[in-house]
Amino acid sequence: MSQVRASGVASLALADLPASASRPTRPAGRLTARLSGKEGWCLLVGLLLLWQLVAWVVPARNRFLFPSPLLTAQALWASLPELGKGTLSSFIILIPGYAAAVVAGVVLGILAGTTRWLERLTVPFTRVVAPVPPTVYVPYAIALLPGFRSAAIAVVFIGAFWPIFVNATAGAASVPQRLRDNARVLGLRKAEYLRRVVFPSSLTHIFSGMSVGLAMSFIMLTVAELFGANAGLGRFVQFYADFADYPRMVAGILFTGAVTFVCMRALDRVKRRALFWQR
Amino acid sequence: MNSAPQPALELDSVSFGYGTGAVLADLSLGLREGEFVSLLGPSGSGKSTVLRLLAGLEIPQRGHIRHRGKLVTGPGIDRGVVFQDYSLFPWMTLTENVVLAIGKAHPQLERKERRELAEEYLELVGLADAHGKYPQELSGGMCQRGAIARALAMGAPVLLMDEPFGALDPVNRTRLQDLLLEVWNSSRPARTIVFVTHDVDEAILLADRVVVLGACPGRIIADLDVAIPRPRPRRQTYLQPEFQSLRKAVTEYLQGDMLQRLSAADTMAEAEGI
Repeated sequence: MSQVRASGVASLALADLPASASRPTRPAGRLTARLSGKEGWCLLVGLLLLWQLVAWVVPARNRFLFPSPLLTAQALWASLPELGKGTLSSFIILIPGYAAAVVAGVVLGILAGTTRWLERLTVPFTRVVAPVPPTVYVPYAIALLPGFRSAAIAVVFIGAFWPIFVNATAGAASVPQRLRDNARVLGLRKAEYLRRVVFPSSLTHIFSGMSVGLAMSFIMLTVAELFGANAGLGRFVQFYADFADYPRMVAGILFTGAVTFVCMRALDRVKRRALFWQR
Repeated sequence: MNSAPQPALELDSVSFGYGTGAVLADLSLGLREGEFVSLLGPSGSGKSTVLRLLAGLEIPQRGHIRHRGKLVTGPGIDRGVVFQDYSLFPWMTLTENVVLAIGKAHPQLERKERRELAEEYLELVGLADAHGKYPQELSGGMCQRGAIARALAMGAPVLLMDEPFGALDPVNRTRLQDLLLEVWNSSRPARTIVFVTHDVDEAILLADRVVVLGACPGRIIADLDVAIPRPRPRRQTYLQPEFQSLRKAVTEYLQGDMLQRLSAADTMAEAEGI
């Protein structure tokens, strides 16, 4: 029994199988125990194998439309310099757009969450505008703003702003009573109260908004690049799709996924650091 | 003992309620300068509400609250508050918490002086080694020491304490009671303290005066002077006839109030045919 307990939830589920399964349960239990925490990697390896299997089955004349992992890896290796440049170009759009959205979303959200009239002013507007898929702004932003870069920064900003703003407002509006009492008893002025109490207290909400906002930024970035960029990750994918160079296109998609993953992980790290006092 | 006619802290026919329910009905109470008053009562007697009103966190619907003759209209740094739990901000170290309070009470001090003063007060409450720690790294008792240090560091002449030791184990509770008395005794002029508790022994042992509240709505059912000389060593004090008779009187008042409420509830239930 202790073995079952040690191997966690996965093997407990197995242990619930009918009696006939009792013998195979033990080695399976050990396997799940050994793999616990690495399930994500198992899925990844499994998908890679599946991909390779399908690639084998695909008839030879379609090999280029459905490239095998090996072919894609070769394309990825060959495109690395270009992808590196593309990443840089994308980040020149992503970073200012996202950073501006974080600053504006947090500042305005905290003000709207703590000031009654500002809340009444913004809530109806937010309800209407925030759910609009920001991708609809892309063509107009490109037409309206001078140059592709400024237009792309603007749409990244819009995409990331709303989730951050909405979450920061919710966080600021839900500061626990005991903390508000404490701040009042100490006689904190409004500015001090917002900076030293409301802001840290809202951080959990703010960080959820920031991760949704970051994912949104990547979507907006790549969509914008499909429209009018001459460099960047989305542009890379679009360019090789236009030339029917699918191995490179798939390589571009995988690379973009990896970049997104790294950025989300980095944000997660920052979050865990900033919220150290919650553990 | 100073017996100035002008009360330091005063509730003048105060009524208060949330929504339609009355929490306090026409309550009047005056505290002398430097007096230690325990506020004792069952839950629902509004003892915490009295404290929140004195702190200025709530405004009475009827009546007035005055501190040194001045109308209380909101919280002020002339009245320090210690809550039962979580008086400290969890994202600041102990020192930062105290420094923040000192910065509000003594804005003229330099950053370094504030820090030094904060560490002095933390040392005073026995937290010399813990000043760089965050509240969640400390035990409940240590957090309450920190909260007391913060309230003391503000230098307020009034200290309002809402069941400050209610969540502590008996040993820590005893230690903090002693600490509180020590601090109160050693400061001149003495601070006026309002101490909310539901522990009869604690109320009598600490206070100059025990005010007993009855429930639903909250009102004063007894106001008793504790004429036991200080210092009051725990063991001897518990054995004193004065302590025991007070204890008996307070307990009877509390039981009387409870029985009255029970019979009232029974009559209501009978009237409704339950």
